[in-house]
Parts: sequence; structure tokens; C-alpha cells
Amino acid sequence: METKHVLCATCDISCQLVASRKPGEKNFTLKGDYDNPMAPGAICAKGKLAQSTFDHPNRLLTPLKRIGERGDGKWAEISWEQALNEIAEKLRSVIEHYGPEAMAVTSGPWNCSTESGMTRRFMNLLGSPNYISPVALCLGNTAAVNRLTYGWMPLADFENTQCIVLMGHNTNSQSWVWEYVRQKLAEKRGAKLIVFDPRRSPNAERADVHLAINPGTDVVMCMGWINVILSEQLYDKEFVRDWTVGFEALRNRVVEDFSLDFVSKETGVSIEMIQRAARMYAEANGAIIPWSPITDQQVSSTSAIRAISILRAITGNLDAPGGEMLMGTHSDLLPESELELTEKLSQEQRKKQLGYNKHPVFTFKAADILKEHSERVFGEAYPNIVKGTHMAVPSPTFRAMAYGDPYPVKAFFAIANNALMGFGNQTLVRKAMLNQDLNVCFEQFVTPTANLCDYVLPGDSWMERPNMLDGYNWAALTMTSNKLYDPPGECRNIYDVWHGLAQRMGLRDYFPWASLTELFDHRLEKLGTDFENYKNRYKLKLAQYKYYNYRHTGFATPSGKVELSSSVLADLGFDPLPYYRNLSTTKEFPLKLFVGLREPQFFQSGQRHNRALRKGNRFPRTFLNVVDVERYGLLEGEWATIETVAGKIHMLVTIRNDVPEGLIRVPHGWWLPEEKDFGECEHNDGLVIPDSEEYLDREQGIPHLKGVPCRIYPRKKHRQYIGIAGAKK
Amino acid sequence: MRVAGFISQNHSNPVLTHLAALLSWMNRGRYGKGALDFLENEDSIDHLDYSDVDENT
Repeated sequence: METKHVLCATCDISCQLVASRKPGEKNFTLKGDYDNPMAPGAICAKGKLAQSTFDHPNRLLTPLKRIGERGDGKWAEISWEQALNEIAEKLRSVIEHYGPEAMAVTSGPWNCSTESGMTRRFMNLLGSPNYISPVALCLGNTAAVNRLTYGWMPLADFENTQCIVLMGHNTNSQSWVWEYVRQKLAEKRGAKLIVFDPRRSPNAERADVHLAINPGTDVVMCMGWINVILSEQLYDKEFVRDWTVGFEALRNRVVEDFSLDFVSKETGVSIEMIQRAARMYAEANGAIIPWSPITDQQVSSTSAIRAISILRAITGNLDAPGGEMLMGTHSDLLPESELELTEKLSQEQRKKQLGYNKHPVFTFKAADILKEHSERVFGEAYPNIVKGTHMAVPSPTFRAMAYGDPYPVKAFFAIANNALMGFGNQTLVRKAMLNQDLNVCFEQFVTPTANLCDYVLPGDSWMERPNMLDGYNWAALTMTSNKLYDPPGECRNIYDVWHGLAQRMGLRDYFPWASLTELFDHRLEKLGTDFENYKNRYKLKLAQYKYYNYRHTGFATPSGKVELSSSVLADLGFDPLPYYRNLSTTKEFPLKLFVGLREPQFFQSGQRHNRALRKGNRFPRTFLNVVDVERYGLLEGEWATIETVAGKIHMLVTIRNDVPEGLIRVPHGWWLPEEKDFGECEHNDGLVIPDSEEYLDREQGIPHLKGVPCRIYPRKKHRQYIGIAGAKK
Repeated sequence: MRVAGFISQNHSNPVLTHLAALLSWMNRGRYGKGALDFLENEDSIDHLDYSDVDENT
């Protein structure tokens, strides 16, 4: 039996898998690695069936050049040489006409987890600050906001915790599996579970306390907990005295704006339940609030994430056993932040970063304030935690692309990211792409985004390349992965794209590594080993992390302490304490819409072409309470239209009594590869997400995805679908 | 964390390999029998499978 360890990059979780095949067999079988001490056995259906996703007749095998209008789907196959020559020439022309800031790149970090900072390196050397990513709406922005309070993004210590708080985070055996396994094992050990969720989710059903909050009130509930913890003296007094600033200001904010009566009224949860949950969290000997996408995606996102950070700190859970670990990155490796060459990007160009002035929290404006403090504690001036701590803001970037405001952006690269469907206001993203001089996509399939591009470059998959993942620059966990197969056709790694363009744009000396493996070797030089040896020795390498590191280094903030009242937010012109905003329903839009729901068959907009997965879930479905189904004249299994101020989408109605009245849940990323138009303008949740200012978090500029006012009614104009049963295999 | 690091190494010494396997087994054992069964059989309203409903579409 041949076995290899491999790291799944189907999603951002990176489960460690074991690939095995018997002599004579061509294909490997994938299983979760039960010897992995963190999340043993973790794997989902998408991971198990990954080969059928990649080994597919629709797989892109050669570079394509558009020969029709954008969106027509007419392509010519060309060589890599021609593709890179022409892209380099056109990019050079854009830069000459409009400046380097006219180049914007969006990158999906999981698919490109091998790039070792090369995307930002290429952009920094050219002079473009306009890197965006879907992590702006998911985890990356949380990392940036966490830095404001204590300088890093903590990793939850599930293995030792006594209490887990899930902020609506729907971990399960098919999504966020690495986290779910650790959570379930902690529960098995006896850890308490508290769940914030308007819905009676499976986690909520199992929880010791379920707080069925109203949508978008997460920050209010957290401030209510802080109220209980302060008034009942449940906080860690020694830690607060020695290691925090702004305690009195926080107390005043809680007393003035977050009385328990207000918190109860706004969240819809009784005072007794609020108190019970807050006590359970504060009194646990080690408690965690793992990252949640729910608080990433609200108009009160910054305040909610800050309130969570404050809870972690005042209860003494930072860097404590069973709490939240501030790990830094692995000192064995040359960090990605160093490889990115951020210092090559001038201050003048940084200030042009889109969103820099209006929504600065995850832009260079905030990162530059934290630079020296981060260097002091973690040895990195620009730690690019989850690749999300000094990005441009997506909405202003797409506006610049569409309207040239405040300056034109004319070359757009979508790297393993179905960008058209991955952000809010899909109509704007489409307009933005149609207004480009150059659109380039690096992908495995022709997605709706690729269909608007001028060049589509065929990318490898995680089964077709080696990998060395340093915990997304978040935690000192380095994981390695074997290549199982050769890439099919002419598929290449993302490193080859930047390397090839660098060769053609006068940056040859900065990309001296001929291959991805050589780049990994370079990152390991200071260990005196190479990738092959390192990979053979370590599936997972954990750093020698020690609890309470801050006692020696202080925190990576301007004060060196935990900033309960944030000096960085104050410097940026914002309220330094958490506050509350939400969106209200109206007569016209009487319901609230939760988008971004994950379904077990798919990660984001991926896997829609995979029949093995798709046969269990062929069409987009929305989930409603039976009362709302009857109230709005809907029928189960029939099409309905959901409408907001931004637009409309169509979905099949599914009655779900775990969903409360007044709420509609919508899955993310739906398109139909078997349909001629991909159904791209009819089903994706991005079509109904507005991104005008009142729908954005003020500090980050990210849109509200968890509770947009909407209405629903039976679909008026029906269409015939080919469906996967009618499509060619 | 140190033990976890030891478990996840590929050791060249067979004694260490056996020791890592033993520690791995003990690590799983601390959660009790069948602690990971949910990975194979978990009944959940969120496992959304419409194979029967959508069979011909």
C-alpha cells in the first residue's frame, strides 16, 4: 500500500488527509488522518470526492484567450508563452497610462495557499496597493480588528478549554470540520457550549445555553455579557489592572448604552438567560469564543469583533490554557510577510490604497500604526494574518474599476476566486469587470468570473502540487502536503504565473526560484534543510508555544497593553469603544435575509459542476418558517423571488421550522454551469447585497450579510432549466 | 503541544514511530470510546440532501 499525507485545500480549513492506493491502482483514496492530534479524522464529502471535482471533463487544460465579446464564452486555446507575453504587454500599457495602482488583484487564499506571498510581492514591486480578497468578509477582517485590541488574531485552545461560545457559527461535519472535530471532542471532555443564533441549529439544540438573538444584535449581547461580568465582579482583576487600558471608558459605555433592559429588548433574550450565559463563560476555567463568520458580516462588525476581543481579555483568557493563543508565526520558516517585500511599496502608493481613508481598519492606514508594535512582539512589521491585515477594501475597489473614482483601475486579476459572485453588489462587480482594459483569471474551470475575462489560465489543484502551509500566517502550525498526481494538460501553479510575468516585466531578479519547490527550499534555508526532507519529517510542525507570552513581551499595541478603548480606532477618527448599529425592516421589506449559508456539497461557489455532489443538491433553495411560507403565499418546492434594495434572486422554497419567523436563509454562491447563461444573474446571494454606505460597516467598509431587509413572493416569470439530468456529462 | 508535535512527526527510528502511534492512540482515547463516530454517522438537519426530490431534474 502506498500512502502519502496531503493537505486538503478545498476550503480554508486545510484538513490533514491520508491518501492511499494499492499496487496497480491509479487513483488514491482519501481519508481523514486519525493520527493528527488536532482534529483527528477530519474530512468532509467535498474532500472525499475531490478527485471527481478535479478529474472532470470541464477542467481547463490550456490557457484560453477571449475571441468574442466578454461573456459570450468564445475562446481560442493559446500557449502559456503567448498568454504571459500578451498579459505582460497589456499590464505594462495599463501601468504606463494610469499608474501601478490601476492594477487590482483578488485572490482566494485557500486555492492559492502555495503562493508564499508572491502575489503581494509582485504587486509591491510594481507599486500597486490594491490587493483584495474574499477574506475581507471572512476571517481576514476579524484578524485585522483583533489586532486593534491586543495585536494578533488568537487561535482557540479547544484541546484544553472548558467553555465554547459559538457566535452563530454553524460548525458541522461537512463545514469547518477541523474546528468541529475539536469542538466535539472538547464537548465530550465536558466543555460547556453556549450558542448565539437566531435559529435552532444543531449546535444550538445541543448547547448548554442557546441565546436566540435577533439578527445583527451580536454586539449588543456581548456588551450585555460585559455588563454582567463587570457588575458582578467576574472579571480578572489582576489582568485588567496590569494589562489593560480603557477600563473605565468601557465601564461607562456599558452603563450608559448597554443596560440589561436594553440588551434584553434588543436581542430578544431574557435578562436571566443573558446573566446565566455570561456567568458560565466568565467563570469557566479556560473559555473560548472561536472566530465566527457571522460577526464578520454585519454593519456592526468592527464593534462586535471588538466586543468579543474585550470579553476574551477581561476574563483572563488571552494566552491562558484553554483560552485564546496569541501564537505569532513559525520562526523556522522565512515568513510570508518578509517575502511580500511590503517595504518596497512607497508611502505614497500605500495612501492610494482603495478604502484607505474612508474604511481604514484593514488597510495600510491601520497596519502602519501597528507596524512597530508588531515588530517588537512578533518580529514581523506587517504580519499578513490570514492574508487580511493590509488589504484594499472591495467595494471602493469595484467602484474605482467601474467608474474611475477616485482614480481608474483598469487591470483586474482574479486568482482562484470567483470574484463576480464572492462579494456584495454583484451588479457593480460585473460593471467593474466590463470596464477593464485587461481581465485575467487563474482557475480550474470556466466560472462566471472567468467568462468575463480576456485570458483564463489553467490552475493546478491541491492534489497536483506540493504544499507548505504556515497556518495562513495566523498560528505557528506548519503543515506539509505531498503531490499525488501530475497536473493535467498544461495546468500550472500560481507561482509560475507570477514568476512568468516577473520575467517579462523587469522583475526577474526578485523571482529567482525556478519552481514552487525551490521557493519552499528558500523558505527553509535557515533550518539547514530543504522541502523534501522537511515534508518527509513533518506532516504538522507545532511551534514551542508558551502560554502567557505577553508577560515577557507586552501586547503588540501602541500602549503595549490590551486596548479596551482602542487608540488606533481613535487615531483613525472612529469611536474607540464598541457601539451598536443595525438595519431595520420596513413596510416594503418586512423580512430579514441571512445570506452566505454553507451547504454540505459546496464550498463557496465551487463544486457546482461535480455531479456526485450536485445530485444531492441541484438547485438553490431558501429556508423559511412555515408561518412565513403561508403569509407570503409560497409553496414548498416551488420557486420564489427574494428582493432587496439591491436586486432580486430566485430560489426554491423549503420549509424549515428551525428558522424563526421573519427570517429568510439563503445559501451562498449559486450558479448553474449546465445552463447556457450559468444562471449567474438569477441565484447568487451577491445580487441582493447592497453596498451603499448605510449598508456597510463604517470602520471596515464591508457589507451587511446577516439581516438585510427583504421581501419574498412567488416567482412570476418561470424559466426552463436544462438541469444536470438534461446536460451533457 | 510538545506531545502533539511528537505525534505528528514521521520518525525514522522505529521505536519512536511506535511511541508516536501509542501516544496518538492515547490522545484519541482520552475522549472516550466512539468519540469520533459522528464523522461517519451524523444525523443533522443541515446535511441537506435532496436526491429523492430532485431525481429527474
